[in-house]
Formats: sequence, C-alpha cells, structure tokens
Amino acid sequence: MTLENVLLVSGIIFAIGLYGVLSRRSTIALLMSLELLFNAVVIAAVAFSRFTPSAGLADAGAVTANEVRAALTGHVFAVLVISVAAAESALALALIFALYRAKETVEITDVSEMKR
Amino acid sequence: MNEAFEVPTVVSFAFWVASAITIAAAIMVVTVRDVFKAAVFLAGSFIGVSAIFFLLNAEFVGVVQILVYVGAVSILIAFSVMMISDVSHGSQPSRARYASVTVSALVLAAIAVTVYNTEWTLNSGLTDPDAIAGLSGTFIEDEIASGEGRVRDASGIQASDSQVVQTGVLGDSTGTVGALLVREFVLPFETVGLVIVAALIGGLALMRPREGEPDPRGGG
Amino acid sequence: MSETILDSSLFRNVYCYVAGGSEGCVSHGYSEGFLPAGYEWLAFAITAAVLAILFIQGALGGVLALIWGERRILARFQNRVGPNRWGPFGSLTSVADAIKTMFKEDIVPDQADRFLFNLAPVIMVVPVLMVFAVIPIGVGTLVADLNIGLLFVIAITSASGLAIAMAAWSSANRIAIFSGLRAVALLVSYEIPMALSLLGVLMITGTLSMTGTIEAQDVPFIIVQPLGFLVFFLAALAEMSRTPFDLTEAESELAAGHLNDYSSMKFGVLFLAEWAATVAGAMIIATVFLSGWRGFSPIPSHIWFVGKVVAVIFLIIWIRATWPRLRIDQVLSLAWKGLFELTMINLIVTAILTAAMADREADGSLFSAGELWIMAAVNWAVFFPSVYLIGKLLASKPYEDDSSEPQELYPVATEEKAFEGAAD
Repeated sequence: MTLENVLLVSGIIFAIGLYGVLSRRSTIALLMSLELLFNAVVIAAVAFSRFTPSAGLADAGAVTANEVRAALTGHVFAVLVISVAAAESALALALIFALYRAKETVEITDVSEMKR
Repeated sequence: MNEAFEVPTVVSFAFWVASAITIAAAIMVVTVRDVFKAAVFLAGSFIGVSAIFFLLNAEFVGVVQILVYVGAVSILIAFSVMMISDVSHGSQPSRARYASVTVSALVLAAIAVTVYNTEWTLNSGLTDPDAIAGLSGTFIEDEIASGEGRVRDASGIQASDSQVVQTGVLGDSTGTVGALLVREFVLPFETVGLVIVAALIGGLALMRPREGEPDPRGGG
Repeated sequence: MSETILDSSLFRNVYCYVAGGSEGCVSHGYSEGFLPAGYEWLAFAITAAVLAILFIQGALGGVLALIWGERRILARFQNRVGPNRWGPFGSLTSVADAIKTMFKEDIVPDQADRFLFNLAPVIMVVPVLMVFAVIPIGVGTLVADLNIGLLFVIAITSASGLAIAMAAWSSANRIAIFSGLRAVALLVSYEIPMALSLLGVLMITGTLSMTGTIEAQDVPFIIVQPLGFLVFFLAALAEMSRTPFDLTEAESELAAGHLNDYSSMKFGVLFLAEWAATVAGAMIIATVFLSGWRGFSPIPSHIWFVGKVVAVIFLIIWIRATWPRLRIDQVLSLAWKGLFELTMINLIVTAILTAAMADREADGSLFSAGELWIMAAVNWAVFFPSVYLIGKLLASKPYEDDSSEPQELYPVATEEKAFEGAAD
C-alpha cells in the first residue's frame, strides 16, 4: 500500500462514478453515482494525509505542535466533504420527490422541457 | 526510507481486499438495473471505503463514513426507492453507454499517468526525529494550551510532571481532528453547519404540500 | 504485534499462550508458547478466531437466557406462571424453541428477491455481534479497546435500518414494505437523539474509549447526566425496537412486519439479532451510565457488570409489561419535538459546566468526584423543569372532531360524533 496505489484505487472509483453519472437514467441512480465521486475524493484526501508531510515538517528547524497537527488536514477535509455530501443527498432526494410528484417520473431523460 | 512509516504486509493485503470489494460493489452500483439493489451495493461500497480509511490510520473518518453514509445516506436512498416503488424494477437501460465508458476510461488514464509521474514528497523521506515522533511515535509538547509548543521525541527524554506523553497524530487521530475542527478550521466547520441547516429547510420547503393538493400526511 | 492490543488481558491470555516469546508477552510475564518465533500472524489469527467464537457463543447464551427470563418475568407481571415444563423453572424452553425453529421448512416467497432476502438476516446480525467486541465485561476483559469505541457502537448499529429495509423490500409484501417504511423512519429519527445524548458524557470524559468512560465515572453518569440517560434509554429502546416503540414489528397490527415472510433459521437469525441488540443495548447503558464493572471490592468486577446489565434488562421488561405501544406519529414527534430538545438542553448545560470547571487541557486529567457531584446537582435542577416543560408541550390534545362530514377513511365515528358523549 503506497500513496500511488491508494490514489489509483481512488481514481478507479472516481471513473466508475463518472460512468454512472454519464450513463444512468434514473435520478436516484445518478445520485448514487455522485456519492461514489465524493467517496473517491475523500479517499484521496485521507491518503495524502497519511503519506505526505505537512509543509512545515519537511523544512529544517524546530517542529511545532501546529505543524504536526496540520498533517491531519486531509482528515478534516474528509469530514467536511462527508457532511456536505450528506446534506446534498438529502436535498437531492427532496428534489427527486418533488419531481416525482409533479411529473410521475424520475427518469432524467423525461425532464427536458428546457430544451424545446 | 525509515521504518516508522512502513506499511505492514498484513495491512497491505487487507487494503487490496478492501479495494477489490469496494470497486466490485461500485461497478455493481452503476450497472445493476434494480435501483434498490444498487442502493444495497452502494452501502457495500461505502463499507469497503471505510475499511480503507481504517487501514490509512483514519479511524475517525472511517467511523464517520459508516455513520453518515451507511447509516443515513444509503438508508435514505433505499427509503426513497421504497416510496417511489414503480421505478425500482423497470429502470430503463443506460443511455450513451459507449461514450460514457470512453470518457471515464480517459479520465482514469489521465489520473493514473499523473499519479505515477509525479514526484511526491513522502513521510518516509523525513529525517527529523522530532517530526517522525510527532507523526507516528510518541512525543512531548511544550505549552499544550497555546498549540504553538515545540514537539520533541519522547523516547529520548524524561517527561516532567506538567508534560504529557502523546501518541503521534497518525497513531491516534480522533482528538487531533476534533481540535483542528474547532480551532484552525472553525470557519469551514460552521459554514458546513449552515449548509446543513439550509439543506434541511430546503428539503422541508420542497416537500410542503402545495395549495389545492391534499396533505400527503393524510388525515382527510 | 502492537502493544496496545496486549493491554487487553483477555486477548493477552489467549495470544501469549499460543505465541509466547514475543516482546509484549515477555514484558507481561509469559515465557514461551507452543508456536515457534516468526508465526505471530498465525497466533494472531488463532486468537482472533477463539475470541470471536467465545464472544458469539456468549452473546447467544445471553440471548437464550434473556428470552427465558423475559417470558418468566412477563408472566409474573401478568399473574401467570410462564414456561415451566422443561428444565428447572422452564429454563430449557428457549433451547427447545431454537431447535424447533431450526427444523422448520425454509420458505422463500415466489416473488421475493432471493439475493436480498437471504442477505438481510446476515446484515442484521453482524453489526450487533460486532458491538460485543468493544464492551468491557470486567477489568481488562474485552476483545478490542478501540479509542473510538462509543462512536463505533453508534455507527455500527445504524446499519440495522438498511437490513430492515432490505428484508421488507425483498419480501415483495405490502405489509412488510409499510412496516419497513415505518421502521426506517423510526430508526433514522431516533439515531439523532441517541448520538446527541452521548455528547454530554463525552464532554465530561474527554474520551470515546469504553474503558476511559468507565474510568471517568467516580460518580455513575446516571446521576451526573439524568437528561442524557433518559434520552439515551428511550432512544435505545426505539433502536432495539422494544415496547413502547416496537412499531417495526407490532405483532398485533402488522403481523410482525418485515419478519412476515421469513421462516426457519432466517427468521431465527433475524429474531436473534433483535434479542442480541437488547442485550448489547443493556450492556452499553450499564457501561456508559452505570459505571460498568466498577463496584466495591469483595465482589468481582464481572459480577458487578452482569448485575447491572440484568437490572437494565429487568427495567426494559417492566416497561414492556406496563406501557402500550405508541402510534407512529406520536413516536416520531417524541423523537423530533421531545428528545431532541432535551438533548440540546443537556448539551448546553453540560458544555457550560465543563467549560467552567475544566482545566483538563493542561494535563488531561479527569473530573474529581466532587466536581461530578456539583455537575449532578445542577443537572438534576435542570432535569425536572425541562422534562415537565417538554412533556407539557408534547401532551396530546383532547380529541376534537372539527370536520363537519363523517370521516370516510376510517368509519369509526360515523354515528353523529359518537366521541362527544364519551368525553363527558
């Protein structure tokens, strides 16, 4: 398990999610693919946190506590992204419900009034 | 290369198993026709990702991943599929399948080329023993309250009464993540709170019964 | 082998007996095991398997005992005798039931989604059994002292909602799906007050580890955190679908809900998961709020722990014998309008108290018993008015039939407002 390998796994998940976003018809399935994208990004953030030092650590000179703690910035990013993704999915599901109530469908290809 | 950042063989093996499970489940998510089944595979993929987080020494993120994604997001999605039941079994086939495969394969190739052609600055390149101890050993910190104290390797010196020997931040991340969230990153943290409140209100506003429509909660 | 795992005496006893010789074991006084050096991974695997089997068997034994105990105690409450035929005091009745369940025919409905139908019991039972790994049942007797123990428990138990949704959906049965929708709404709602009610405890202890939580309890947290205990207890009742929040099954209304189409051992496993969840929930309550294995000295710590767990389980059974089931809207409004506010009050009060008293940041020390008693006094002073206030706000209004037309959907009161006369 090296940084490159973890990033590669993250990239594979990102590509799978991208395929889902581009190809699925059901909006709920689209939402799931979006969550995969978020997950790929979070894996990358945590991997950088684990394998690369924060800026101050690589320099010569005294090591301060803040520099050590800054190594976990990736974890903080991960937590923030997860929170925002949760809020986003709740809102997206509310939108899907509203769509279903208005048009009796959740297929993305059926919602194309703006094109005409 | 120093030993402190070496990954044990067992952990490496577990990482490949977890990655294989995650990727297989993710592929099922985007290919399975039944949307409810896709939601279940999504939960499986989330669990695999959280296993990867545990192996990357990020226990807190891993647990939050299970709590938020498995415990809330995938359940919410399953819930919606149950409410909008007619979409589940007869989902339409994919649109633009070959174009999508091409685009994602190109993106994956770009990511792989970038990842393997970059010279990363790695933890294992660190030479300062204090820095290594602060990350993955045990360390002593002066002036804990201010957060500006100097970090020293705890193996060489005797801690005085007022000092605490702490585990390196990669070894025990939970407390440090908490401290970072309410100190350095307090503004993003509060903003996320605001975003969640906005999403809550937005969701309620979207689901409110419109005039002339019967109240979806029933009751006459 | 990392040193921290060897801190658990249970793990150490098994591991060092097998492997021995390694650094951690030598420093704990073990000389040599029967595996040669270099086979630490095999010793690790053997230890993990032994402990897993041990704990799962323990959980199963606990569940059998609980089923028997519940039936006996419920019978007592209802002036009956209860099962008394097989074994002393009928104690082998649960075993007979288990054997009967195993030998029943395994039926999968025609329309069911076989994959999800078979997967659901597994997803239901695995998280519950994983909870047992982090609970200390005596001094040093736990499988893994995770430094995120409490959060782990909350996270892992939240997967049961998904299992219920899967069971309900894959049965392809209308009643099961209705019950699944109810159950998911209920579980997701009660997770929020459950997690928030633990935050007060976390602020006092400053750790997520189960062992740390017990060490911080010079005064049991049921005294220090009355609001937290009340909310956590009610939310835990809902999460393990016990009366009065057992709408997920509601035998008399939904014909067992998502369990409807299950038979034989799949039904057995689903049911086992629920009972094991009750045992695990009682163990968590005993650990977090009743100071776990702590007690005074002549009695060993394991006995203390079991005694506290039995007390909590008795309380749960007592509630089942006493209270009727709530309606789904009452249950949800209790979570969102009642318990949520109570946790917020608790959180604010505890935060102020902790900030006023803490100098923990300097040396990481715990609160002394005296400080805990002061906190307890303030918290109890807040407890009664806030519970009274929230209860007052939540109290259901007397029935008023303000619609001029008779209700068509539920023709209960079609005869000229029959309820008016009843109100007198």
